[in-house]
Amino acid sequence: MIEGQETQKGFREIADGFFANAPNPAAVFDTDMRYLAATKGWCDAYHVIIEEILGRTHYEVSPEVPERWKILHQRTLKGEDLSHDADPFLRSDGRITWIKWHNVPWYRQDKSIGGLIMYTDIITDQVIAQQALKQSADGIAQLDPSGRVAEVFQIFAEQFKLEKSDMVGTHWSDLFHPDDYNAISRHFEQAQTQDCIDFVARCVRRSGSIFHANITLYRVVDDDELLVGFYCHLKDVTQEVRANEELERKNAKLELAERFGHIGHWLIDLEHDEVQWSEQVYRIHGVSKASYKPNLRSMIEFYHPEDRARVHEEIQRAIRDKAGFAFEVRLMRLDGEMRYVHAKGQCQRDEQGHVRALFGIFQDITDYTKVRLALSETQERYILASESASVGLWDWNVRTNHFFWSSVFQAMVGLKNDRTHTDFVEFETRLHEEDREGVIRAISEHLDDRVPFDVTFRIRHDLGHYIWVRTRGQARWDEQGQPIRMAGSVDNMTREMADRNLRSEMLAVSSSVKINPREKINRVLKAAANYFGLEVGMVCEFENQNPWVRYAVSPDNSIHAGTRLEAYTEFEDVNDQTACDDLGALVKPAGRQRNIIGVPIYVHGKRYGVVSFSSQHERNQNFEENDFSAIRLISQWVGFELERQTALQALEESEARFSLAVQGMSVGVWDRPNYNQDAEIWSPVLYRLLGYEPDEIEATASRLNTLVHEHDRFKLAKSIRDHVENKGDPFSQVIRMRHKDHGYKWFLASGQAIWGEKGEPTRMIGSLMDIDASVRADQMKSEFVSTVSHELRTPMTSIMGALSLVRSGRFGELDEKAANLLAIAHSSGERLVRLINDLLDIEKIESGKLDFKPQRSCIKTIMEQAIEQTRPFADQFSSQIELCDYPKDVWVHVDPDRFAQVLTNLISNAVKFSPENSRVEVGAHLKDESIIVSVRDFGPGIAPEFRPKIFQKFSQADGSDQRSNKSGSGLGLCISKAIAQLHGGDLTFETKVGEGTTFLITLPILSADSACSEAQHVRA
Amino acid sequence: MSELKRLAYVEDDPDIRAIAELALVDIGGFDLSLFSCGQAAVEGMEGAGPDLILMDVMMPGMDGFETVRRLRKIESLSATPIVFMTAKAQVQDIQQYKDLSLSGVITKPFDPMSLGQDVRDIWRAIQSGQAHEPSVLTAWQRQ
Repeated sequence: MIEGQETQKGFREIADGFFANAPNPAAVFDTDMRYLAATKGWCDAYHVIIEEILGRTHYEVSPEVPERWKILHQRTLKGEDLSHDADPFLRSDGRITWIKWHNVPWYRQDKSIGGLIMYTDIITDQVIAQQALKQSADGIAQLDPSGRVAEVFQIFAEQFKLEKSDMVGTHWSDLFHPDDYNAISRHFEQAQTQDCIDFVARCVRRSGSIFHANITLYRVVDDDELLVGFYCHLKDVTQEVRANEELERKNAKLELAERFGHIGHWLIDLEHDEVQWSEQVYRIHGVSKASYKPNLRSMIEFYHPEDRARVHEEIQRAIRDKAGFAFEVRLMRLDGEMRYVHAKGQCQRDEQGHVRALFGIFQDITDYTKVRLALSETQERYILASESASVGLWDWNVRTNHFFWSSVFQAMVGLKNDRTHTDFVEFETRLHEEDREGVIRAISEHLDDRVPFDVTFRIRHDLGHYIWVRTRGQARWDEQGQPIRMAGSVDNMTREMADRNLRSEMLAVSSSVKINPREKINRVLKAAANYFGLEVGMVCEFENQNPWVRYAVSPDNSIHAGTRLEAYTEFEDVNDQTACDDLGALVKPAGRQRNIIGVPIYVHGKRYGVVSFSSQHERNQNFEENDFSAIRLISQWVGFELERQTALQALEESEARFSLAVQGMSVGVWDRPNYNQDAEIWSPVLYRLLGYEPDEIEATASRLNTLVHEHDRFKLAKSIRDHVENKGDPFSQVIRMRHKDHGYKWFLASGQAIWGEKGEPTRMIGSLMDIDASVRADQMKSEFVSTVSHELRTPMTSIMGALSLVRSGRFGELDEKAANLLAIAHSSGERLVRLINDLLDIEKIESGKLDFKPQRSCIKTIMEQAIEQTRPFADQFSSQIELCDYPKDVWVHVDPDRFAQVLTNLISNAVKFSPENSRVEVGAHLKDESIIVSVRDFGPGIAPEFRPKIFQKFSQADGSDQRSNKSGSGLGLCISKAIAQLHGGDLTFETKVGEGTTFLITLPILSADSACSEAQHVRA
Repeated sequence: MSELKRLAYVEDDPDIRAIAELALVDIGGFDLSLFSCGQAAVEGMEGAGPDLILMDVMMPGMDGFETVRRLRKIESLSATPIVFMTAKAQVQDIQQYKDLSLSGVITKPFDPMSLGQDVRDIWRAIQSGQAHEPSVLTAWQRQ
C-alpha cells in the first residue's frame, strides 16, 4: 500500500524515491489510468519518453491494450491486487515486449483509492525462448504415474504420425519397438526414483516405420514428494544413430578390406622411435600383437638380407627428399615362410617441414607374384585354352607398344590373319569415338593406380560396323613400378548390348509422347536390326495380297516406306515365305545367301503384314531359337503400336471434327453435371467467347451469371425457371454478357435440363452462341430505319401541308380536275405517312423498344374512343359502326393509346373491306379470365389462301388497291397482333367467305386486387 | 379566359416554316414569330413575348429538349406553354420529359387547315387547368 499526493510533481518525487532502486519496471497511474510517473526501466521496456506521456492515459499510449486489461485495471481500482502472465505489448517502436505484470492500488491520505501502480517483469527473452522451443523438433508428452499418456504436445504426436487424440490414454511403452520393451520397463522403474533419466530407444510410427529417439523422463512430484507423473521429452536422433552405425560399418569394412586385400597400414614415428602396425600388418609378418612390439631396428630384421640395404636406402631417400616411396621386399617370417610384400608410403612433416613420421600401406603380393611368375610359363597354353572357349585375348607390350590379337579377337573384328601383330594405335583407332576416352582412362588408371581393368566398349569391325566387347585385363610392373606389359581377355558383348538396347528403346519409345508414331516404329526397327546384326528392317502391310512397305530402315535409306515390296526384287521372297502362318520361318532365298528373318504381324487380331530383317549383302548366318523369340516380341510390339496409332488417329480426327464444328459456330458449351451444384464444365470455346483463357476464371454457374448484363439477368433466370418448372422446350434467350476486354456482347443463351427418375432436374447443359455481329447489324438497321423515317417525314409535312392549303381554296379557286388531282396527291401522301409511321412501329416492336405504359383502363371507354375516332372515316363509305353488347365495368391492364390504335386499325380495316352502306359491329364478351373484344364486318371474308399470311409484314389482300383510300401499309395487322401480345393477349380472326370476318382481341382481365400494379412500367 | 394571340414556332425546315406561317397567320389568324433554330429562339424569344411556343424536336445543333431547357431559364418564359411538334412514333419519347412541363404535342405531318384550331384546343385545356398530361393531337388520325 502506498500513500501519495495528488500533484504530478509530488508523485514524481515520491515515485522516484520509491522506485529509486526498484528492480522491475513500474509506473504509477491515477484512477483514469493517466500516467503520473514511471521508472526508467518502464520507459526502456516500452520505448517511451516519460515526459511525453505524463498525463496521457495508458490506453492512449498503448493501442494494443486489450479490453481484458481494462477490466482488470478497473478491478484493481476497486482494491484488488492482480497479476497476469506473459502478455504481448506493442512498444512505440513497433516491437513487442512480453510482460508479466502486477497491479496494486495506491491510496490517498483519506484512504480512498488514488490510482494503481503497475510493476512488470519483462519476460520477452523467456517467451521467445519458449516459442523457439515450441518450434523445435522435440516433442513433449505428459505421463501419469502408471505410464499412460495424459497429455501430448503436437510435435510429439507428429513424430509418431498420430493425432493427439489417438495417443492420450495409451500406455507409453506401446510407442516403442517390442524388442525394446524390457529396456523400457527397466528405465521406467528407474524413473520412479530418479529426477531425470535419459536413454535412446527405437520408436514405432503408425506406418510401422522406426525411428531412434533420445528419451528423457522427468519425474514430477507434488509438495509431499508423491509421484504425480512424468514429463517425457523426445528427440529424434535417428540420423545420429544411423551415422554412428555407418561409421562402425565403415570401420568393419576397412578391416575386412584390409584382410581380403592383404593390405595393412602402418606408421613410423621417427621422433619417438615408435612403430604402429594395423592388424593386417601383424598378420603379414606372421606375429601377434601381443607377442611382438615393432620398432625401426627389429622391424628391418624381417626383411630378406638381400633387400635390407635397398629398403634402408629407399626410406632414407624418402626422408631426405621429403617424398613418397614404394618398394617390394621379401619378408622372412618367423615360421620360415617367405612372403612378397609391396610397401608404399609418404612422409608426414611438421610445421617447419621436418619429417616427423612415415606412414603408408603394406600389401602382401605373394600370391600375385607367384601367379605372375607362373603366367609367363603357361601363357602359351592359356591362349590355346581360351581360344576354344571363344574368348579373345590380347597382349600389349607397353615398352615396345606391340599389340597382339589372338585369332578369336581377330575374327571378332574381322582382322586379316596376317595382322595378328599390330601396334597399340591400331587398337586405339578402332575404338568407337564415344568410348575411346573412357577406355584409355581405364587403362591409365590401371597402369598408374592399379585400378582393376574391366570395361565394356565398342570396337570397329573391318566391315565398318561396331561390335560391343567386354575386356578384363591385368598389367605387370617392374620393380620401379613401371608397367611392362598388359594382357587381357575379350568377350563379344554385341548381342547382349543389342538386346539391352532393343529393350530400352522399345520401352523408351512406348512411353514417350514426344516421338511421332513413325519415328517410334523406325527406332525400334533400327534397334532390332542391330540386335540381329542385320542392316535392313521393315514392316510390310498386305493390302489385297500386295505387300506395301509401311516402315523401313536400311543403310543409306535405300528402301522407302509407301512403295510396293516388289519394287525391291531381291526381297520378294519375304512376302511368300514369311507371310505364312508358320511363325519364324527362316528364309534363305535360293541363289542369294542373304539372311532374312521374319514373322507375321497381327493388328486387332487380323493379319496385318509382316515384320522382317535382312542383311543387305551376301551373308550366311544361322538364326537360333532366341532370335525367333526376339522377333516375335518385336512383332507383338509393332502390332500393339499400330493398334494404338489407329485408335489415336481416330480420336484425333473426331476431336478435330468436333472442335472445328464448335469453333466454326462460335458456340461455347457449358455443362453442370449436378444441377444442384455450382460447378460447371466449360468448353474452351466458351472461355474464348467471353475473352478468357481456359481455366482463367472459375467455371461455375454463379460466375457465368455475374457476366450476364443486369438488365438481362432477370429475363434469363425467368426463362430457365419456366423451363425447369414446365419441363418444356429448351430455354433460349438473347442476352448481353460481359466480355473480358470488349464490354458487353450479344449472345444467344440456350440450354436444357436433364431429368431424373422423379422428374427432378439432375443436370443442365447449355450453350452460348456469339450473335453480337448480327444483333449489332440489327441495331444499325433500326437506326437506319428511324433516321430514314425522320428524313422522309419532314418533306412529307411540307407536301401534305401545301396540298392541304391549296385544296382549301383559300389561296385561289381550283377547277374540278385540278381539285381531283390534288385529292389523289393528298390521299397518296396520307398513305405514305401511315407507311412511315407503321414502319417505325414495326421497327420498334422488332427491336424490343416499343415503349408502352399499361394502366388500369376501362375497356368500354377505349372502345368508345376508337369508334369515335374512326367514325369520320366510316362516314366516307356510309358504313355504320355499332357498339354491341359488352360486359359492364370490365377493367384491363393496357396502354390505352396503343390499345385504341389496335381497335381503330381493326375498325378501319373492317370498313375498308366491307361494301358501302354496310355495318361493322364492335363488341366484347367474357371468357374464362379473359375478355374478348371483337370487330365484325359483313364483307366478303378472307380468302383461304390469304389467311395464313394475314399477320405477316406487308401482306395485303388482293384487290385492296381497288380504291386507293382503302390501301394501307400492309403492316397494320402485324403491328396490332404484336401490341395485343405485348399486353399478354392475342389477336385472332374468324372468317367465312361471303359472310364476313371477325377479329378477336383477347386480353386478360384485371382482377380488383391487382389493380395496384397500375403504375408499373413494363418495357417490352 | 385570356385569348391566344401571339405564337412562336421554332422549326429548322424552311418549307415547314412557310406552311406553318400560312396555316397559323393566314388561316389561324395569330401573330407568329418564327425561329430557324434553337439558338435563335433562345436569343430572340423574350423579345417576341409569345403566349405559346410551338417547338420542333429534331433540329440540328440544339435540339428541342435543350432549347426548352434554356428557354425555361429565362424568367419571363418560365411559365409559357410549350407544344412540341413531332412525329407520331416519337410521342412516347417526348412524354418522358415531364420535367420540361410541356403543354402538348402535335404530331407531324400536321393539317395546316386545322393547326390553328388544334393550338386553340390545347390553349383552352391549359386555361381550364386540364392539361396535366400533354395532350396529343394527331391530325391524320382524325381523317
